Amino acid sequence: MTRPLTTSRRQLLRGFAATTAAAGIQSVGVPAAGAETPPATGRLVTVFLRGGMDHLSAVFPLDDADLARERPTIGVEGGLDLDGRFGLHPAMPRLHERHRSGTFVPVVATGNPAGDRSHFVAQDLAALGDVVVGTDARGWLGRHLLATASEDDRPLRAVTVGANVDRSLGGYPALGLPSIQQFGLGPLADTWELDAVVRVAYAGSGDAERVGRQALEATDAVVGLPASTDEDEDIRALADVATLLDEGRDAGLGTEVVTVDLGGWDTHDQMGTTEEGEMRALLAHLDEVLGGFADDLDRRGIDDVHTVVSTEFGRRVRQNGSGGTDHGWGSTMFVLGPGLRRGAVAGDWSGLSPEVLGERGDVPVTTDFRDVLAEVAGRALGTDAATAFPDHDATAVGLLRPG
Amino acid sequence: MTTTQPTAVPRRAVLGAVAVSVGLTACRSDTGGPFPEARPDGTEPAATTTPVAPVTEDAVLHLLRRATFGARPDLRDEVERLGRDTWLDEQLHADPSTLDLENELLDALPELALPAPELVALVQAKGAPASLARQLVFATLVRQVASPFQLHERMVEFWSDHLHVPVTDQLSIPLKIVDHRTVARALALGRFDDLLVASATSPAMLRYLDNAQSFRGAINENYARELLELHTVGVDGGYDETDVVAVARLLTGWTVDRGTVEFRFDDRRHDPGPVEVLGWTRPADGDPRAHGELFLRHLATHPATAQHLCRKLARRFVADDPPADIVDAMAATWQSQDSAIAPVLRTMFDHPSFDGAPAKFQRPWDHLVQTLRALGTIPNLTADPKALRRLTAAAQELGQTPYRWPAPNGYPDVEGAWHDAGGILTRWRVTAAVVGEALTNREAFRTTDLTTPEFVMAETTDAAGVVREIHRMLRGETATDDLAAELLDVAGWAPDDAVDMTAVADASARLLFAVLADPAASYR
Repeated sequence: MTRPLTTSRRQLLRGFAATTAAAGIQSVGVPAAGAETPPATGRLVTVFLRGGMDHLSAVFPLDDADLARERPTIGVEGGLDLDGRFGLHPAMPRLHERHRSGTFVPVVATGNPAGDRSHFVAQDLAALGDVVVGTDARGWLGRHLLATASEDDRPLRAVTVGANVDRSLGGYPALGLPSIQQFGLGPLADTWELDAVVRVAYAGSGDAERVGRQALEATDAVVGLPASTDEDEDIRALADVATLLDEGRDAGLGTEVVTVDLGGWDTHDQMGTTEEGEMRALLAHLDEVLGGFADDLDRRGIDDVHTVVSTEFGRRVRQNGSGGTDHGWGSTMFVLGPGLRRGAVAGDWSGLSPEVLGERGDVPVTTDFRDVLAEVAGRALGTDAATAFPDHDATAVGLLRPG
Repeated sequence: MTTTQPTAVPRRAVLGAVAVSVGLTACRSDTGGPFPEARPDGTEPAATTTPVAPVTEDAVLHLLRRATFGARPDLRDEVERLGRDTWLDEQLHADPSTLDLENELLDALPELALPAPELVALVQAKGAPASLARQLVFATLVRQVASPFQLHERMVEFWSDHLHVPVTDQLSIPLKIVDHRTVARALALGRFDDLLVASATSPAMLRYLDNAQSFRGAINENYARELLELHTVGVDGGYDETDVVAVARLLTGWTVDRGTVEFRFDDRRHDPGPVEVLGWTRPADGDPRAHGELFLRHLATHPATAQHLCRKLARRFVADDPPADIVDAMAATWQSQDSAIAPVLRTMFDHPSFDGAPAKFQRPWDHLVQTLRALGTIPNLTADPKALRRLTAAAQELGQTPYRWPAPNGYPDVEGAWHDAGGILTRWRVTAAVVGEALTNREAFRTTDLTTPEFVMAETTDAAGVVREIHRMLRGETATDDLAAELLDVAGWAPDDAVDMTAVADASARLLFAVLADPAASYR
């Protein structure tokens, strides 16, 4: 039998917010929350489609002879009409319905002006919100979170649902939460008084102490929340996101930002046809995941969450030698949530003529991805665009209704 | 309507999908900013969350924590007996195929030795390849925990990340098993040019990065791009989009035979056109397939490849952001030794910058294997399969099941990708579970008597002595005063308390957990 812990001769861990504040996180080279930054009015979910989504299978110009020429076998037919100009893949009826009801808007021809075809450079730039990997390694959301951090920050203010915290949150002590179901110290927690043991082990350990404190506080907050047990890991992840946002509102979790990764988008071969194959399956699944998530939020009565879906680059317009597509440039972003311009397809579209595609054969970028992020995060989080994207002058995309 | 033109920007080699940093270092005041400045030589800044000092000042322990999966006390004794040089030489010229461990593994997991066609047939007949995929992970775990040739296993792990082919669908499993055997394991301490050719002709790689489907007039540039960016010269290696296409053309027709499931060169679908890339020009005549191999060997010894690979090796063994001098020294050896790995590693371990290397955060799988080694366990492959499956489930919770990273760049290797509150929490939970298994399921884990009260108390009966002994057995060195006090706190003992077997037995699980879950045990 074990005796209870004696009072440690070392200081026990202080609260996450207190250690965060003591470490000066809110005052690192960026202005603290003040008059310039409106208070956060909502929450933001970012979904990253890792691998480079083939945007032209998801949202494409209807009856486009150029597209048909470039994609003789993988071109999608029978698109669900969005605005008379563009169609949505027929396997995406849920998002189509949300477009009609004004809670989904795609933004076409978006991307990074850098136009980098490396997955890893392009993903880094997307997370940093920049056109070059510079000296500031903080992510674009990390900059916002730091600028608005306070002693009241909760351990789950910024969360990645997954094992690796997303780099867009970099700089801020965000939390990786693989799943609500498995979160916590496990079945031995009580028998071995694990909480008390790690308090002793982590006290006085410098920066690691803050991480440890956050882990314990997050455990107290999360263990016992209803956990999704869906067999599909993506549906499970988004269901857990909805729970965090729900509890964030009612039980004080304080969750403002959640990031999620959905993988499998690097479709270099055998994408299939409109009716069957890998691309259809990916997009049908995406429709189920995103549509299901939006429905879940509606059922819970949550109306202050915006979701922005992006990817590292669009894929080449012309199909490659194996019925797939190689790395390209301009892509499409999705925005879901309240206050959108109903029925819109945002972004300037130049068409797919050989002159437009040029030697690269890519959809050229007409809307900087940061403009989309700034507009949505500005509405959802009160994000100051110049803080999140210090090297970019954001211009309005117009996907939100004024208000 | 405006069209933004691509911006020509200097690019940096950033290897991790989540690399560089999600850092918690915003409070570091000594770096002049929230993160270390990017280095002028273009390497990535890497965040750390603890002071940049070595975890231990004991040079032998330091070497063992970098070169092995955990410094057991007996291993430490062995190095002191043999001498550092001799031990390293043995490690660098290891031949694991002669080990009893390998026989034991292949007795328990015979499928891992089958040739490709039989493995494929097996999967097609049985249908349920999950167990086959698990066998590869079991074998990896047992080799890393128990092999005396620890550095060999470290390099197998390195190449598995560097020339990464993930297990994805059904067919990927037999191909991965063959790839693992014939590339990373067979050539772990060989020459990189041989590794590169083996990987480029490995059916698993040919299929994963689509070169098997790249043919004259209908190329697929996936493999060519990652060959340059990830496997050899790096993203700043001096190539452009035209070069990616040229390399793809050079490798058209390198495919997989549907019957034998082996590499096949399809010369009818090969593009024999001229190629000029990175200082290499295709010969005007000769065997067109051999040209591809010549180019791969040219790439393997290209100066940019030497820099890229040596920085990556140093990141694995030295520091997230390794000093330029050690990387340069390794790169010089790389080129003078025609990309032979052992001399490069020798240069690294013998370099003055190695001994002073700052703490290196352990990836979660590292920490799991270290925990099993520290507890003196060798998981038994036949006694209790469910116990092994619990370990692989733990790896999944930790986010690092071997061979499952979803992108071609392999699991990230910098602290920022792994050190967050959620990751630490999972590490605690898994460590507690493993300690529990090791103590209660001794047969399946073949736990040695290191953890029994009798062993711990062979020399001492006072509380302070007991906690110090437990720490020494797990970590290979005596606990600092602070740590000893911390462990006494955990046990609820005063330093001078006389403790008996019962008290030690009662407290031992929590003490083992406390040592292994301590922040210090997350660094190597």
